[in-house]
Amino acid sequence: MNKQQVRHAFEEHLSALTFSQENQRQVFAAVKRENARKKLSLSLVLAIALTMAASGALAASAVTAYYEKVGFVNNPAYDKWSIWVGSDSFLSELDRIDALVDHLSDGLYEENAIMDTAAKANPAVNASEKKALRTALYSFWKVADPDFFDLDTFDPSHYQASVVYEEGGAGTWHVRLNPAKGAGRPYYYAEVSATNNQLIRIHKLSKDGTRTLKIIYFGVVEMDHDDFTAMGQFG
Amino acid sequence: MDAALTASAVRDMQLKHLMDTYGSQIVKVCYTYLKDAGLAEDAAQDTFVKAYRHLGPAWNVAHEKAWLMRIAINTCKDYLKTSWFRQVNRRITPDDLVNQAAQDPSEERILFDDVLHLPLKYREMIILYYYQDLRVSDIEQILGIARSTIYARLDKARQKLRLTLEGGYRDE
Repeated sequence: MNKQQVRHAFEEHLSALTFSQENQRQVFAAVKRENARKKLSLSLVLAIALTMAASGALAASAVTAYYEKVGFVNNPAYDKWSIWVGSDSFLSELDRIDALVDHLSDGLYEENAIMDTAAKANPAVNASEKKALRTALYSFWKVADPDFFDLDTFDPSHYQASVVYEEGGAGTWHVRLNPAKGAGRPYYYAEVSATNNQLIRIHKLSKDGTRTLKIIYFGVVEMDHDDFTAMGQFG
Repeated sequence: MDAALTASAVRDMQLKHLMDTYGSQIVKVCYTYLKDAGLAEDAAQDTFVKAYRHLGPAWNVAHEKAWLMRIAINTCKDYLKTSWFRQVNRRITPDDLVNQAAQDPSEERILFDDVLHLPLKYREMIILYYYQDLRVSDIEQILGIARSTIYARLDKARQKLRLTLEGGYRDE
C-alpha cells in the first residue's frame, strides 16, 4: 500500500463530495449572523454597565425599556435560559414572514408521512393550519437555523410546505418544509402545539427527509404578531 | 470606520480563499469521520465558521491546511460525541456507496471500504498520512499526540489493513 494507491482509492470514491457554492453561501451567512449577534451582545453589556452605574427605579425602567428595544427579556419561568430575538425592523420582518406564509399556503398540502394517524380528509387550508405554518416559519427563521432560513435569500418557490394534525392529547401540528428535489438543502420540520400555537420542537432531517438527524431546538416559542419569545435548549 | 471595513473585507477574502482551496478536501475528511455526506457538509461549514473567528489582517498560519484539518477533525469529534449522533442507526457507508461496492469489487474499492471500517484512531492515521499526504510533524500538531504514537498507530493500521485485505477479520 502506498500513498498514491490510497489517494486514488479515496478520490475515486469521494469524488461526489464537494464544498459547493451553496455551502460557501451558508458559511458567509453564518458569519454575518455571528457578527450581528456579537454587536448585540456588546450593546447589552453596555446597557448593563450603564444600568449598574445608575440607580433606583428610573434605572430599572430604563434597562427594561432597553431590553424591550433590543429584544432581550429574561423569563424566570424557565431556568435554562431565555432569549427574545428582535430588532428595530422586527415588525417589517414579520410582515415579510406573513407574505411567505401566504405564498407557501398556496401550495400547502397535508400529508400522512410523519404520523400514524390519518391525515385530515379536507386538503383546504384553514386558519389554524396557516397559523401553525406561521409559527413554524418564525421559528425556523429565528431559532432553528438562520442560515437556512435567511429572509433575504429564502425563495419559497424552492420549497413546499406540508402540515399534518396529530390527534390525541393536546394535539400537535407537524409542519414540514420540503426542499425541491436535488436542491441539496436540509429538510426541517416543526412540531407546533395546536392548543396554544407554541412551538415544541424543531427537527433537522436527513437529506432524504426520512429520519431525524437531530432535534435542534427543544422548548417553547410563544408567538404573537408583535412578540416573539423563545425558551428552551438548542441541540 | 474605513479600517474596520478593510479588516472585515480582509477576513472575507481570507475565508473565500480557504473555502476555495480546501473546502472539498475538508468535506471529504469530515466524511471519513462521520460517514454521512450531509453531516460532512455541515461539519465542513462549521469548520469554516470557526476558522473565520481567527481570521483578520494579523492572521498568519504557517500551514493553513494542517490548521484547518485540526479544526475540522475537532468539529467531527464533537459531532461523534453528541448523544443524538450515537442514537442514530447509521450505516458504515451510505446506501449508494454500499450498492456501488456490490457492483465494484475492485481492489481500490476494497481498500476504501477497509479504511472506513478501521477504528477511528487508526483510520485517521491513514486518512491524514496517506490520503491527505500530511507530514508526521503536521499530524502531531493536528491530533496533539506524540510522534512515537503516530508511528505505532500507522504500523498497527497497516497491519490491520493487510489482515482485512488478505481476507482476515474486520476489527471494529
